[in-house]
Amino acid sequence: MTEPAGVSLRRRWTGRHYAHLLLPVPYLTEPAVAVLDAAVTAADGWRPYDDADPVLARRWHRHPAAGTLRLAVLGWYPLLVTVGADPAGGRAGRRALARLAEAALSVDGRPLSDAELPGRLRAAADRGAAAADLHERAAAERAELTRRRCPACPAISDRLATHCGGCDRRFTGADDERRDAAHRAASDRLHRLGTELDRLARDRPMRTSTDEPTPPTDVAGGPPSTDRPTTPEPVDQADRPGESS
Amino acid sequence: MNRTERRSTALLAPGERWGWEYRLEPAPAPERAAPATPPVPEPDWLPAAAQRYAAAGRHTLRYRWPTLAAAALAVATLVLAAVLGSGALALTGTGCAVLALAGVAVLVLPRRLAARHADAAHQRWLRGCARCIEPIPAPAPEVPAGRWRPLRPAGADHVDVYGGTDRGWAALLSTVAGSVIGSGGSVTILDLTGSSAARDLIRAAGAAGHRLDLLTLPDHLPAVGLLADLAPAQVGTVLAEAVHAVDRDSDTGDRSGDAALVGQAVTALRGPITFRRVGAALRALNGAVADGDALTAAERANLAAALRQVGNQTAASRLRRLAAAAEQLALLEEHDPGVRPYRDPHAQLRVMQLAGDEEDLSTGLLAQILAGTLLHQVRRLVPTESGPARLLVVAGADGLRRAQLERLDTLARRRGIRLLLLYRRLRADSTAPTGTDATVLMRQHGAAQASQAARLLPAGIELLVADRTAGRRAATTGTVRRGGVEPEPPGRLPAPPPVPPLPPHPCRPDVPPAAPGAARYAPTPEFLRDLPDTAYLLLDPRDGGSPRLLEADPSVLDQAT
Repeated sequence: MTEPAGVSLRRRWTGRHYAHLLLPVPYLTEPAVAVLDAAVTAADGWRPYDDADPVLARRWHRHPAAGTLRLAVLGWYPLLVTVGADPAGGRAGRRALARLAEAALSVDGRPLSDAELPGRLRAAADRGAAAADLHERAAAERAELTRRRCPACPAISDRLATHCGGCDRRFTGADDERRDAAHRAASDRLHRLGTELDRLARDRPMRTSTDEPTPPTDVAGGPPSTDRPTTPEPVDQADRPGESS
Repeated sequence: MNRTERRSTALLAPGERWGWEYRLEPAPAPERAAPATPPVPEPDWLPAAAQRYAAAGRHTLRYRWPTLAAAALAVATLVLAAVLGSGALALTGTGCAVLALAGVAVLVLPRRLAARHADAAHQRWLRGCARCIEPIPAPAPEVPAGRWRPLRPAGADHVDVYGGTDRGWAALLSTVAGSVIGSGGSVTILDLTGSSAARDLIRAAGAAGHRLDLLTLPDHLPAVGLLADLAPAQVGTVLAEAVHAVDRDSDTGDRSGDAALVGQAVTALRGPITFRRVGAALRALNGAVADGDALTAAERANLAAALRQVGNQTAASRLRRLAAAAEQLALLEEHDPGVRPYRDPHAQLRVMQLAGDEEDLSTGLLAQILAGTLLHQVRRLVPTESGPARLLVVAGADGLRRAQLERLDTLARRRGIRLLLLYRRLRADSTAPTGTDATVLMRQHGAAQASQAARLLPAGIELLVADRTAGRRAATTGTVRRGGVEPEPPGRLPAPPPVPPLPPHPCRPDVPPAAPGAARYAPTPEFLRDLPDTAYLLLDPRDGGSPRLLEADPSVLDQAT
C-alpha cells in the first residue's frame, strides 16, 4: 500500500489515527459515499450514521461506546476529505483508515500527507471558485434553453411561448428558427462547460486563459456572451509531493 | 367567497374582456447561492504537529544503534551464559536487555506522544470543520409560470362567432357581455337559439344587482306589444321580411310589394297593433269578412276603401299568405300562460329570447319578427361618439337573412354599437376577417365545417394550449382510454428536446425544469373539432398576435398553474 511520507496507518505505536484523502469526483456524491461506506464497514462492525448532511460530512460508529470515525469534506473538484478516529488509538479505527486509503487508491484517488494538505486546501479554494464560475455559466446557459428572445423588443419569453411577453406580437417561423439556433449554441456551450467541470473533478490541471474555450459567436437573438475572468494558474502540480511506501 | 360568487365577480369586474389567454412567463433566473468551497478553518495545527513528529524522530534516531547493540549484546551474553552456566554473564546479559528495552522506549515514546498530539489536534480541527458546516437551502426549481391574461379584440366593431355549443355560447356571452355591463356599458341580446344562451349572464347580472329587461317569447307575447312601437310601414316591412325568410322560396313574389300591402292594412287601423288585428285587416283588405271583435267599423270602412286599390289576383294570394302568418303569430299572442315579463326601461342588460328549441313555423316566424323589430329598435338609437360601450348580440343568427344582418351591421356601426353575431355553422362564404371585423372560431361540428374553419387561419401557426384546456377537451369529447398507448391529441406538436441537466454541484443539486403546464398545437381541423366548449380562437386583423386561443370560462382563473 502506498502511503504518504511519515504517516503510517499500520504502525500501532507511532502511527496517526487520521488520514486525508483525494478522490476524483466533484463532491461527496452517492457513488463516492458508497465507496467510502463499503471500505469502512467491510470489517470490525462499523456502521454509518444517518446524518442529515451527507454533502459535507459523514460518520461511522461501531458500538455506542466503541468509537466513531468522522469524515469532513475540505474541498470540491476534486473531493478532498479528512477522516479521523475518535477516540484515537483503536485498532479498528486504524484498520478502517487503512481500508479507506486503499479504497481511495482503487478509484484513482490517493491519500495525502500532512505536508500536502495546506497546498491542497489553497488549490481547492481556487478550483472551487473556478467550478462555481463554470456552474454559474452553465446555469445561465440552461436558463437560456428554457427561454426565447424577441427580435423586436428586449423582452424574454418562455421557450414554448407563441407570443412575445413584451410587445405581444406573434412569433414567426423565422423567429422560431432563430430560437432553435440559439438553443443549439447554448446546448453546445453547456456541453463544453460540463466537460470542463469534469476535468476539474478528475484533478486535471485547470485551464489557463489561453486554454479557455472561446465562447461561440452569438447568434441573432441569442444571449450575449459574457467575458469571464481568467482562471488561476494550476497550483496542484506544485504541491504534489513525492510518495513513499 | 364561494365559487359561484368568485365566478360572478370575475365575470362582472370592470374592464372589457372577451376571455383569458394562457401565457407562459419564463422561469426566474437561477440565483447563485452555492458556496465555492466548503467552509474549513485553517489547519494551523499542522506545522506544529509535523515539526513535533519530525523532531521526535530526529532526536530519537541517535539511540537506534545503541539500542540495537544492547539488544544484540543481551542476546549473545544470555546465550553464552546459558551454555557456560555463568551467573555473571547472565547478570550482564540481563543488564544489556534492560538497556535495550530502555532504548526501545526512548525510540518509540516521543514519536508516540507526537502522534497522539497530532491526533488530538486533528480531532479538534475536525470538530471545527463540522461546526462550520451549515445546512444549505435547496434551490428553487426552474418553473415557468403560467398566467391567464384577460384579452379583448383590438377594436373590432363586428365579430362573427362560428360553431360552439350551448354551454360554450353561454360562457362566451357571460364573459363578453358581463365585462361590458361591469364596465358600465349596456348590452342587448337577441337570443334565437331557444336554449337561453344568456341564462348564466342573466343569473350573474341579476345576483350582482344590475338592472335587467327580460323578455321570453312567446310566453311574454300577450303582455307586450311587439308591433306597438312601429309605424305602419315598418310593420309591413317586418312582417313581409319574416314571411319571405320563413318561406325561403324565390317564387313568392315581391317583398316590397308585400310590405306595402301590410302597410296599407295597418294604416287603416286606428287602435292598438296586434297580430290578430293585422291578420284581420289583411283578410279585410282581401275582401273577406273581418271578425267583428278585431276591427272597428271605422277600420273596416278604411279597409274597404283600400280594397279597391289592391284588387288583383296576385295581391289576393299574397294577402292570404300574409294574413295566415299574422294569424299564426296571433295564436301565440293569445295563448297567455300567465307569466309577465320583467321590464325595465333603464336596464343595462336587455334580453329577448325565444323559449323552446322546436323548429316549428310559428317559432321561425316569431324569430324573424324579433329580428325585424330589433332592427327598428337599433335604428331609433342615437349615435354616440363616446360614453359607455354598447353591445348588441344576436345568438343563433343562422336563420336570419344575409341582407337583414348587413342592415343590422350598418346601423350598429353608425351608432357606435359593437355587434356580435353567433352562428352555429360556418357560413359557406366566410372569409378571414378584415378591417374592423373579427372572427371567433369555437368548436366546429363536422369535418367539412372544421376544414373550412381551418382554412381561415394563417398557415404554419402554432397555439399554446394550457394543460387545463387540453384536459377539458378530453373531458368534453368523451375520450375514454381503453388501455394501451394513449392516442396523441389532435394537433399536438412534438415536445422540444428536454433541457439537459446541469453539471453536478454539491450545494446546488440539479432540479430539472418543471413541466410548463402547456403544450403547442397546430390548429388542424381535428383540433377545431375537439376544442373544449369554452375555448375559442379569436381572429382579429388589428391584433399583431392574432390568432389567439382564449378561454371564456373564468373558472380557469381558479386553477393555480
